Amino acid sequence: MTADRTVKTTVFNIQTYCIHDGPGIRVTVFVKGCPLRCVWCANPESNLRKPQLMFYKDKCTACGRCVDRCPEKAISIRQEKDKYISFTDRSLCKDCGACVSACMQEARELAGEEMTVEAVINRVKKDKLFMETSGGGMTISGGEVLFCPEFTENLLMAVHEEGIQTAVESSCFASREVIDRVYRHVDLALCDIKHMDTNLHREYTGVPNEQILANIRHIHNDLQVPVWARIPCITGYNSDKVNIASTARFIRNELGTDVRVCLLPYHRLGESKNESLGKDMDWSIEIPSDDYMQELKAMVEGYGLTVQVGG
Amino acid sequence: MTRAPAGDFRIPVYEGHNNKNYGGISMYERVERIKKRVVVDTYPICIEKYRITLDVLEHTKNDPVIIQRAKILDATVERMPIAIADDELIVGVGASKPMGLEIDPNYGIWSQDEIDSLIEDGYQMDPQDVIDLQELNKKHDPATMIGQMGDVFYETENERILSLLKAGLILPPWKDKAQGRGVGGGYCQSGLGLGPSLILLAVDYSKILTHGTNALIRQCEEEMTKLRYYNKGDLDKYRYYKAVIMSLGAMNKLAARYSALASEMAAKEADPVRRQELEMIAKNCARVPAEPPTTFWEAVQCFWFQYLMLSPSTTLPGCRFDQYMYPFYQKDIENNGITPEFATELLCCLRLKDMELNRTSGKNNRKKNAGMAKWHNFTIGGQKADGTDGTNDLTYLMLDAALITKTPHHTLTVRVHEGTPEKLLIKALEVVKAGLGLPAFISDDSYIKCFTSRGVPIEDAREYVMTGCLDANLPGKSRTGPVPMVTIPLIFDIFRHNGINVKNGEKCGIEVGNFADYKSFEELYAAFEKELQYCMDVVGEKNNVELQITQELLVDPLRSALMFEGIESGMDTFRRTMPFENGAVINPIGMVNVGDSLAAIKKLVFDDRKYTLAELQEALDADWEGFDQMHEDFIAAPKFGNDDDYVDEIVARCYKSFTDYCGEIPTILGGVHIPTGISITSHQPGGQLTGATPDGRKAGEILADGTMSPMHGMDKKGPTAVLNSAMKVDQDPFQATLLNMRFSPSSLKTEEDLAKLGMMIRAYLTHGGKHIQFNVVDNETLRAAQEDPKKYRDLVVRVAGYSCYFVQLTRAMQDEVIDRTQQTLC
Repeated sequence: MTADRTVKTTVFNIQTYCIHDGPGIRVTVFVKGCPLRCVWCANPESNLRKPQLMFYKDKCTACGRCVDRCPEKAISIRQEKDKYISFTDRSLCKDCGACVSACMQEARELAGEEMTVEAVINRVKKDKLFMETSGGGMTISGGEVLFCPEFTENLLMAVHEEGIQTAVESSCFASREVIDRVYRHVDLALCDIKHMDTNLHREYTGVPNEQILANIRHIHNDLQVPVWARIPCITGYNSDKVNIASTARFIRNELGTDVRVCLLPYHRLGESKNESLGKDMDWSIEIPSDDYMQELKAMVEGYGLTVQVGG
Repeated sequence: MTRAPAGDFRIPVYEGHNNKNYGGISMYERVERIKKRVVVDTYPICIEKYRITLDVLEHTKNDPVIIQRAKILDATVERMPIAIADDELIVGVGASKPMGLEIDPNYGIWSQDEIDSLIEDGYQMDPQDVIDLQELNKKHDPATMIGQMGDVFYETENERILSLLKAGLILPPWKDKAQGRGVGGGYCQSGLGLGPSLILLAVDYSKILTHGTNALIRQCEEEMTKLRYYNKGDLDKYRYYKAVIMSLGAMNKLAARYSALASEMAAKEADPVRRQELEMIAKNCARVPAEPPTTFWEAVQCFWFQYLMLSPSTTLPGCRFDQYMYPFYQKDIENNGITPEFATELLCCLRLKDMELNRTSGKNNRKKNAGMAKWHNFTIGGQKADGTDGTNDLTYLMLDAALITKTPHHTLTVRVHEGTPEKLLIKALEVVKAGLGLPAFISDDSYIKCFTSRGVPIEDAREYVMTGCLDANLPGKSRTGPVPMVTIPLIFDIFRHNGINVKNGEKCGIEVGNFADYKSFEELYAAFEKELQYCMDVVGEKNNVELQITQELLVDPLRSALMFEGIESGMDTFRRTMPFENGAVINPIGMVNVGDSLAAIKKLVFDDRKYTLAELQEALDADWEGFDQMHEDFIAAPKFGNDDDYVDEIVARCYKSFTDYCGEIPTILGGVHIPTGISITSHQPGGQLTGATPDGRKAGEILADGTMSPMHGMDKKGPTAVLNSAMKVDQDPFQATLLNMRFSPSSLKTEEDLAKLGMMIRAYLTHGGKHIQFNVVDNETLRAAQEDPKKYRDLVVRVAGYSCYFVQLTRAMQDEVIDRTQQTLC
């Protein structure tokens, strides 16, 4: 069976020289659309499947070119604090992107573009030299890659046809059927474990964790795909030692000590993205200190696991 | 020698320069104390060497130039004040005042106006010296390179050349004759030798290290006995040998003076540790360079005497220091004569010595070479002559010394090939991470091909070294004179106006056709190529004039003797055809802008037919004002650095047109021109001279730097896309190319990060890439440094091929460094 390279989905970034999403130098393909709504989401522009306008107000010089270009008359110039900037009325904006090309300051960007497997593979292939010489490959991330399984499955197959290694970075929130379809083509599974308490998991991400944990067990134990467990460490949500210890126990007891654990300290990139998407931010999460991350690392290592801080 | 280590031998904690805790790191106390003396922000201007030179010239009027020059060397080492400063282990100073810059007699006259401008820029000069200088100037009417070139090019017969020089074809642009000859201003620099300053020449240091100067003097004497004066040229040879003997003898005299001074100081020294050090210095200088060194310490001292007397030169290389010094190190280690820590301390002392060799120049050139520019490049690692990997302990210690001193000079370049140990790449990247802007990484594969493709045996080619910024030369076996910086977008401007210099309406190029009338891209490209070739021919002519003046005026018996068969040949190196002949090169600036421009024209005018050439001409001459939509479209056209074949192939084609045609332009030394590709900081003044370009750039704006770097801000697809674009250009014919990349320090945290960056470097450099270097600083740090330069005095930044202090750059150059796309790793 060969890959169907005409399948499409919305891709919001194909990032090259990724060194923190699996072994070697990698190309990471980020797809749009996610069934989870993690409060700390680092890629809020990936939530919806459709393309979305992003606006970086620091770059805006209020030149007004976008105002004239907007077919919906959604843009106006307004004063904000001590400077004038362009303002987009999100209720009128259709995310068409007409203002993006008008902007000479690169203050406007349309996140997301519909791409076929073929188009993605052509981009990924260009970095084959770097992937091959470093033992790297392609990683698909999101959004949630299992939310567009047909695309993901065909992209993975196509990547293998090109002789490139694959990794999938996922919340593992999907049906067993989807898991089986996708993980046949995966050389390394990067599985997020966000919280061990299903109630808190539901509160913070919008979905419970039972299916997720069962899927991770299935991927590792039944499908025998190598797993790296990725634990985002979010101050005030899941990075307390009780939850991290219980996560470590789950990994050791139900998966095995061959699973590499990546403790990912919270970073603020998602916050500035929320702002550029026009979303209000009324909370701010503290970045965990290096010392605290080292404490967590030592603790998880105590369970006989191999641990790294960062991807 | 056994010796208790002075100071604290802990390995320093390497911190980024954004750390506020300056000076809070531990390092050798000695290094720290010397550093206080040599990392300064103001330099005294001295006239002692000028005085001595003028005196010699007055008394040697009837001598042949080569004898005159040798006598100048001799008088300089005899009469210049010498000094040994506290803590020094390697001795020898290059100016009459600490950190001094001597007015160089071989270049233009320093007018009062130029001196005023120096003082305005913060240089110090003794008020009496200011007066004396103008008196000396009255006596001095030197035959200078620039003066003699003026004698040729200001004549009406050569108007065709002058019109292009005035347009700025070669930087800096020439002024009208009435405004002073040539570019005006001279050089102030340190070093006891003759210069010239800016040639790219790698001597074979191992000659003196292996045989000692006495043996070379004996060799000259022997050669002299073979001379028979009925042979054409034998009288020239006789004079050459006399001059070489005098020059090598001068080096011995210098060492003897230092030996005597060290003994004298030792006798008075109260501190027993320092007394012992001074006694050793006296002993070292009593042996080297007259006799070959027996210890590593002597070898480093011997190297320094050579280096000091081959200076002033802003482009003097250290060659493969880790290779030719290794036998001395190895022997000392085996005999327990030295510890790796003490060897590192000596290497640190050598680095700090190099901080004493500086240069400044006239107003115009100060702008061109931002900062206290110098390219004292030491090449490490890489293949040995037999093809095996040459990395050794000394390679690593040299990197350690850079980490400990945290000084930008001397710079280091790591040669990379398939067999380079991963450990060396990681170590080198630790140095990069420390924010020193060094080392650069270069490809053995591509550099070696530059030589072998032109007939050099592979064993010789594998010994190549970096001279200047990144130009390769073979130690002893090749050298480069003129390195003209040629602004290609300016040629495009001239082409666009059918041979006219729009700034003054004068004809300077040739008529190739009306820009608006080209019917196809191929027709347009062919016409541009014609204009390009015409301009390159003129550059070639100017280079040859410069070469002949170099032969006549700037003979240098010392450095000629240290070349391959430098004694056997009996000739100055610029009169010989060297085993590899790259006597003159041409260096394109802003070729990427021209490639991007041609791609935009091809797409929007000929493929999409959205605009006409006439409209484009109008928009460009209006500097895009009133052509907003058009400007947007031309900016959005494909740009080099994004792995887009459409434009990359056009850039590659432009470079091929350029490199192919270089090989068509002969030199008087018996070779042809070789292409090279560095920009130093010329992309700024080059941009200033150039009108708006179809890549969307506005008139006067800076050009793309280097040769393989994308136009800044135009690469949007990450570092590997930049490399993929660059690998589509055939870089092998160049004797240098340059690609700058900047990372933020936070993206190089773990050893694994460094290992992966190392893998990327190796992949690039073994698949067609020639050079890559990194800046690791964040923009906040740079902005803070702009606002408070004093506080960030030691912030090192790599600008196009050399390291210098960020605060010494012009504001425009600082902005450019900040704007260069910052590659962040995910």
